[in-house]
Amino acid sequence: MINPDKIDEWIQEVEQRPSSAALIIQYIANRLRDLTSRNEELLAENIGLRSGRKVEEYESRIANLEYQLEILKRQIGGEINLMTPAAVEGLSIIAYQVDGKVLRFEVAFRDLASGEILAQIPPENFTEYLHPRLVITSPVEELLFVFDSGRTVNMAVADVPVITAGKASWTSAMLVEPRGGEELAAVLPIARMSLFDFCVQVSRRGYVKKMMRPSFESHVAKNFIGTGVKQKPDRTAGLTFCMKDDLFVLSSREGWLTCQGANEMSYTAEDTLKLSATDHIVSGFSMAKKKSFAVITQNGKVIIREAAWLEKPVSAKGRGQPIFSPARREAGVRVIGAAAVDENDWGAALCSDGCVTAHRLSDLIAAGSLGESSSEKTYLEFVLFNAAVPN
Amino acid sequence: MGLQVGIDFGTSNSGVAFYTGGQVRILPIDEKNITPEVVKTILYITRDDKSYVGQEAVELYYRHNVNRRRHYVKKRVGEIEYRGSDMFYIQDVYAFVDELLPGRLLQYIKTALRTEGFEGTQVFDRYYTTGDIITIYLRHLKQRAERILGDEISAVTLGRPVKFSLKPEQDKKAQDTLHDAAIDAGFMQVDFELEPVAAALFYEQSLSRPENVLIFDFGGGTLDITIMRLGEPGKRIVYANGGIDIAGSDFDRTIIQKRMLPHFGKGLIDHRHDLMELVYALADWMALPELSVPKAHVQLLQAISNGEAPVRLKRLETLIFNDLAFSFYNAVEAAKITLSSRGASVINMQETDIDIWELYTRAKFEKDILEYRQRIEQVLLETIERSGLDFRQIGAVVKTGGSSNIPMFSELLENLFGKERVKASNAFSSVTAGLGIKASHLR
Repeated sequence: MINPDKIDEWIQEVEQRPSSAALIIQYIANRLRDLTSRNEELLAENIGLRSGRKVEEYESRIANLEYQLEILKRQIGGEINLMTPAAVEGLSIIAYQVDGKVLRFEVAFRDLASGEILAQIPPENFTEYLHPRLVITSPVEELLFVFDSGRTVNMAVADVPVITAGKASWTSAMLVEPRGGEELAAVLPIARMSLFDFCVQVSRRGYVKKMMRPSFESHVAKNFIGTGVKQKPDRTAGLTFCMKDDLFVLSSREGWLTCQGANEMSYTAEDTLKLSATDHIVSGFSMAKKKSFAVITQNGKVIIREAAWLEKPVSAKGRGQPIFSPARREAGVRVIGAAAVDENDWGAALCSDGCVTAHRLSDLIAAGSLGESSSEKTYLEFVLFNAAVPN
Repeated sequence: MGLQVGIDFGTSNSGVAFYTGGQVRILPIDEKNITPEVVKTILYITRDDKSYVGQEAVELYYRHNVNRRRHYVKKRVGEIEYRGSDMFYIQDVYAFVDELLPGRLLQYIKTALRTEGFEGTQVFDRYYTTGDIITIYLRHLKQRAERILGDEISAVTLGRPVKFSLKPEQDKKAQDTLHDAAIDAGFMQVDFELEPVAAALFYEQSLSRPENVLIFDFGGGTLDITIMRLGEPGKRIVYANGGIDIAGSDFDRTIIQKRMLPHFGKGLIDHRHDLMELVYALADWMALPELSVPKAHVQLLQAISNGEAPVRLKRLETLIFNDLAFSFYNAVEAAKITLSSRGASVINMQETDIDIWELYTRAKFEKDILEYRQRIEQVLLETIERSGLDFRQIGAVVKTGGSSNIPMFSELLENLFGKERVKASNAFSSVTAGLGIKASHLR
């Protein structure tokens, strides 16, 4: 690197010590000789490139590599299949209880029909507050079991034993063992977490905390994601992945909804909804690109609203927007699930008799309900799955 | 009772001397070196826990490391506590370790004695304290000297700078560490002499009458100044001692910072703070190994692939990840040494993907280190003032140590004392010889 400043330095040295002049000239001459020689080599290489000689050389090498690949194929007995694995054509229905018991049922996706019974969960003293919760996902998923202590356990869906139809029993269920007083609070499929920006942790008392995805991955790797709560009796209600531009919606059991932009959420647990003492959060979901959302009540009613219906609250501690009238609330109507939906989605409902039934959303929108309910038969849980999940 | 030797444990070079029959003998302790009486203060520890010093260490390092393969593995190095708003856990901390690293080269060992907060370093699976490292080095010198002398050595006089550190507690700690290391190396009796005083003892041998002498000991790590009366062995008087931690290694670093960094991208990639951290680390031989990790390598390769100053960054990548940094420091040091005798020199390094050619003049070098000259002149004048002598009462100025040959400092001394009074002692052996003389008094 020779620039005018450096030439000035050399001149300055010669002015101070004229004897340095010969030395500097000698150094520069040697350098010029080296550079000239190197320049010739580069020019020769350039001529080779322009004349196509190099191209021929590389073509020859590629032909040689192709020949070696062919030999390798013959050695391993056929073509190397670089296609993606065959699509998985089934669903895993995971039912879990707070004491860590987990049941897995399998159903073939091709055979699915709206209203079909997906699984029969053994009903053991289910109440509206204490019942199994559902996750419906692909058999090749990875599950994250989240305890109320903030501890987590990772497990492949395939590692959960499949229950043979008619032989389901909680006594023979797999146990994801809680430690000293822990309760299993949520289960989240995480195989696709790298596709999202955030993971949002929601507590039953309406506290919301978002985690950046890389940070969440790190927490998952350490088997500890935090409790996500600020009050002692509170605990995690669920976790959801979302993108930074998504609208995140919370629904309470007594039918109050609130929403917040994912970007505006706090990285620490903050309350977003003022809940009554008897109320709690049943669903937290991202609207993603969907235009509507569905709210399902314990008597099987399906309430569909456009995303535009949601209004961002002025105060973070407001009561939110009511999804049904005070009269219905006083009559005992309660929300069991809510999710962003479109017509092609599928949902599954858990009934108090242990039946898990599949429902196409287009049918639910048309009928306005899951089916008949009675004082003996109420709905306890509703979860969504869509046609893209099984792949 | 075994023999007594003097050891000059220097920042860049060391030496061993033995005094017998009225003659001091500098031992040819490093037969592989061009000057066998001087041994480089360099230690190379291999993965199988073997150690080598001097030229042998350098040669082995080159043979093992240059253009070798690397393979990084993640290794647990400790843990940190993580406290969030609603969580607490302990997280393991991992580092990427090159599992094919054949050995670790340790330079400037003496500087570690005065570096506050530096207690030691990890070499493969073992943690070596500063004392451990010095023990290994001194043990090598002792064994080699015993082979040459054919007898056991039991006592040593070690040289020490006037001030390891300006802080008294750090200064004491440094000497204590050096003392304990010598004991661990197998010396049964250890004492110390100030390095400039040792140089004075050697100079005294040439005196026929008493004289006030200023010793200007300017080596690789520190400048030490002692003013004393010599010529009557029973009546030596030390008038004043002074020193400052400026020396050859600081000049090397200055040359790299002011002249060499543009060769590696400075000026073209200043907006890339991640890469500039690597560029600036070139001047700091201790920081460079810490930064040569896979993440930095990927960043460099990406920048090269994106066409961001590709030639210069490729140069940087090759220098760091092909273990050529040691060659680079040697090239800079060699050019600096040449400037002591010539008006210009070239910092030249030709390797695959590295083509560095920097014509460096003495005029520019003197401009680059002008700030140091001013500080050194100040320390010199202060020491003379403390001695209570004026310039005319000092009969001779004896300069020793490699950096004392830099013309700018010779001129400084000649301007103050006159050319005839400034005398050059053996730059690399006068301290060693003086320590040999001092050691002969050990019993």
